[in-house]
Amino acid sequence: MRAEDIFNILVRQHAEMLTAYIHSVAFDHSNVDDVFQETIITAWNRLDAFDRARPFGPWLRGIARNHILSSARGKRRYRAHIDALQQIRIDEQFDQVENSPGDSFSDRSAALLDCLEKLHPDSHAAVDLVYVRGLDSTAAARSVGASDETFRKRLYRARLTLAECLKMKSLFKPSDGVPA
Amino acid sequence: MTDLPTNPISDGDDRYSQNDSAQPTQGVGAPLTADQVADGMAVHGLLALRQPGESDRIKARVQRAISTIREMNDSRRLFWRKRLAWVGGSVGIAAAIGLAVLYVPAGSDSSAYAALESIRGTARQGGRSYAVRFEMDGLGGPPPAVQHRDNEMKPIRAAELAVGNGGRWTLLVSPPNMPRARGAFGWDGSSYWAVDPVGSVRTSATLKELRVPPFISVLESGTADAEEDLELLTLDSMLSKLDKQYKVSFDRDSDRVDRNGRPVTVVTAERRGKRDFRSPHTVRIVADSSTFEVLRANWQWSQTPLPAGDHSAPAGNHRMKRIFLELTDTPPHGDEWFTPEFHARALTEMSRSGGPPRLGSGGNAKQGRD
Repeated sequence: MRAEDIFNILVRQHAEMLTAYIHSVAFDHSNVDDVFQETIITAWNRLDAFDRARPFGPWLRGIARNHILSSARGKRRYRAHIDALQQIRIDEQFDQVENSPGDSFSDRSAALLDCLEKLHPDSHAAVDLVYVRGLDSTAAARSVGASDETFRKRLYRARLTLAECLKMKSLFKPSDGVPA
Repeated sequence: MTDLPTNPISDGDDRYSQNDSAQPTQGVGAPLTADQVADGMAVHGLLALRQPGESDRIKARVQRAISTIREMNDSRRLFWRKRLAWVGGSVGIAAAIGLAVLYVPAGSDSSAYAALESIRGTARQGGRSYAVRFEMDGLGGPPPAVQHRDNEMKPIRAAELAVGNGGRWTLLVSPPNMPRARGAFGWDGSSYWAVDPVGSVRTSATLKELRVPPFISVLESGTADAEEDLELLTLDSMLSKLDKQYKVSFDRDSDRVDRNGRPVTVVTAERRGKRDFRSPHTVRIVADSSTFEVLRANWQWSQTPLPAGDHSAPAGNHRMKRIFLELTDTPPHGDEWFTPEFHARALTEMSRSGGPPRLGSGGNAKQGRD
């Protein structure tokens, strides 16, 4: 099989993971398509530099991270909100998911669905409105009769609760407890 | 937060406000650790996969990236070809013209080639079975099994193709005029083999040398190249051939979703050579858009009258018109299915007991025609 064929298969295998990672780290989410595209093209151009003894996923994430940082250069707010430690931590969590059993990234992260079911109904509804129905948080807040701020706090707490649940299920690594 | 995104997902700028250095715990009520902030962001990424239509967007991103790479590679090849053509100019205009002609890029859709590569990669994974139907011109024998929509009666024979991993394959065919008998041939990963209806086995290092007995030859063209035609049916060989000898493009007029709501990619390939009557004129492949698994394939031969004295065309009156492959829901076969010994045993027993059911009556087609 040619290198291009193998690369295409690897890209398809890692596409969900890469998308999730870009969503996690990117400052401007309207750039997800562009970052994805640039990452894959850079990976292809630098394929010779890839150490085949190592996993492909972390290498791809490293390229994506560089593109995101490069595009966010000059945006002080971004640098203030995501530091190197946090980037390492996000990478570790994605490693943990990738090393979990399952045929695909979706399979491996299926524990998230169990955790969603265990959320408080208000939190579950907040997640559902934004992530499943695709409403922005303002529209979602309006639909449940909450203020923007209340809704955003609810959503944020939901994510923290989900992260704790994923740690219980060993899909995420436990915390070290370093203050932000 | 003037520079925060407006994307529905990222509109939750709360992700960032939680980590604001002035108010690190804003809205949550307890001091957050760096890990918690990062974990919340990781969860956000996982949840983002649940966005409506995200799965389709991911497929589109992959397709776009692969197509771009393909185009880049084509451009690089063209660059070097142009340079070679320029070098060729130093040794003579004629040579330069020759190189330039040689290095004209193909006019095909590069993303279609990328899809074709993906289809080929998936086809090699094996674990699939296909019902195969053959339509030939001028084949004598019993009345045809199927009446077509145009009410034209056409001779049809059926086969079952099983594709295993590592490129292994097995084709079961019914000899003409003997629908209750079967022959089998295939490749077990190291050699080609053929088993006749009474269980005799032949093996060979190449398909050409196998000398497939006439009663299980699919095409029965009567030419020495009949075995080459068999290679078309191995799917992998056919897909490899498309890359070199055909102009490949997306069939953009086709529905993107088949009858069962399954997103499909349709690739068509048209033979470049006008006079190569042995190869199909047009190939149409319908594949699952996400897995690139071949769902259906249609090899269509040109019906142009043969030029007098053209020896590239099949001799005799048995010209292939069409081969149609359709994925069946047959469970994946075990390793022994791809060995001649297994079929020799099975066919010997069948010949004693009166033969197997008619081919094509086993696995059900997975998909309706699109």
